[in-house]
Amino acid sequence: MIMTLHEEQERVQKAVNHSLSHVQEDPWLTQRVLAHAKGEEPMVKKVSLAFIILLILSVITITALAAGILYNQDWYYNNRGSALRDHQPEIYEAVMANLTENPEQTQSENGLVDVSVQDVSWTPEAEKLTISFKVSPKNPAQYELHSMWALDTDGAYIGEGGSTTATDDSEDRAMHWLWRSPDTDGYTGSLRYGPPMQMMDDSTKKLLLIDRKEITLFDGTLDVFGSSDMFRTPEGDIIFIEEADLDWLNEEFDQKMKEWGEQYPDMKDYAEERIHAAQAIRAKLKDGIIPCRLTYSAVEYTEGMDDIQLYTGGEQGFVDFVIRPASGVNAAANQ
Amino acid sequence: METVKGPDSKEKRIEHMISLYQLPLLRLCIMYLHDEEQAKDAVQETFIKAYRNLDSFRADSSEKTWLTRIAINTCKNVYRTGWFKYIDRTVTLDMITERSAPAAAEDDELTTEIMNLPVKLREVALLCWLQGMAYEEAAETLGISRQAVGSRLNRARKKLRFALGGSDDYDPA
Repeated sequence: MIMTLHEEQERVQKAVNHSLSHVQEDPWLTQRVLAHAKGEEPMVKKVSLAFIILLILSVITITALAAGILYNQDWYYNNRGSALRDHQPEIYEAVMANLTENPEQTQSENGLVDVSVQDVSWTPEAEKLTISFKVSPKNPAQYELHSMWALDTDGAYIGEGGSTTATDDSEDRAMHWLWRSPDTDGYTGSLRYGPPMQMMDDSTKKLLLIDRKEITLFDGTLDVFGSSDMFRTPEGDIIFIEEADLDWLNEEFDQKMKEWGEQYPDMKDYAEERIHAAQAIRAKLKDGIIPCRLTYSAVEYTEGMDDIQLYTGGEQGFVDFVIRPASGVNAAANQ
Repeated sequence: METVKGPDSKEKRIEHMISLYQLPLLRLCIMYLHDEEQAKDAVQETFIKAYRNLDSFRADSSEKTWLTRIAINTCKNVYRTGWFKYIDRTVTLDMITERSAPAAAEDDELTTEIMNLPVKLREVALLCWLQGMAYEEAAETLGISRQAVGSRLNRARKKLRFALGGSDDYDPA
């Protein structure tokens, strides 16, 4: 008898599930993971005390580069991320119609990078919030900027104990690799990866890594962002495109979450928390102004640096910006 | 493989992942490491690593694939640095875990035989059969070629052909 791969999978999964059916979940695993992980992360407040934050209150005006492309949402959704335009044209049109360039913003002092929110689209009619922001090295002659996402994109870095040779088929690695994506359109050009210094455009520079942390609304009441895209421009800037669902604007969301919590009792508390957060934020929306915060860290990479320092260290920073929905917020909130 | 649309905040996302994947990952790690306590530590380490790197997780692969990749690398690290590397012992289920009653004999036999495969075959068998990964996903996870995955899985099949109940002739198509 010849078994197909699918039959083999079913057979093995059944056997293992039965043989190890007595294995129990650890009900405290979440708490221990969070306690352990957070115990190794510097608290934001401590970091903020470690350096003096000078708030530079300014309305940043981003103008198109004298020569070159402005990699904003208009460019993104017509080039690299054209799937939205091609497959959901009504959402694309709504996003473009609500696009606000250069929103009011304030950024914390950071010696390594400039971070600016390029444009925002608050589109409750399509239940969509989109944001693009650009990160540039303050000293491009000294630093070459890449995204933290581009470091060990394959997940094969395991640190001590891994392979120390740079081969394409190593099963795991003790050394970090930097991924160089195809061109900004995401399709042309070649994907390359290898030891960071070999992958840099100019290895005489220092490697600077930008890690986008969170985008929150209303002082962290709600972290709304689920999907992101990132790319590096030919000029050496890093562009992030963020998309979030605004389904929680509608009161139907509460009922859906309630049903979801009933379907999955383990998640009931979380569902109720989401409902309360959504209700609270809908009440705040009636003020007509939505304060947001983008947090990030910029880390200077050096060979052999400590992983904790790499992943949680560096200069922490933020950009506070404001969304001013032209209309429809209250209507959406009251639906 | 499904992509689970999870909650938004980092804490809630990891909590959601733990609720969904703790048990399958624990079984995977037990099968790999032959030790329930080491497996629990490996699962905890897996989710700690996932939490730390959650911001850089992109939906290029499913959460399950991503977590499996971290878990298998964690197991490999434990395996490499522990005494396992020197003594790849033959085990029975009763040796590695406490249970009140055995499962059906054919299930225990197959589970035990997979656990006792040489580690290179075992990890491919666990990814492709237990975790349901495609050859390409397993290849990417292990950092080997698709052909190597197919070859190792065929060798595992030959060793398990009696327990699997099939022959050693196999066409993956």
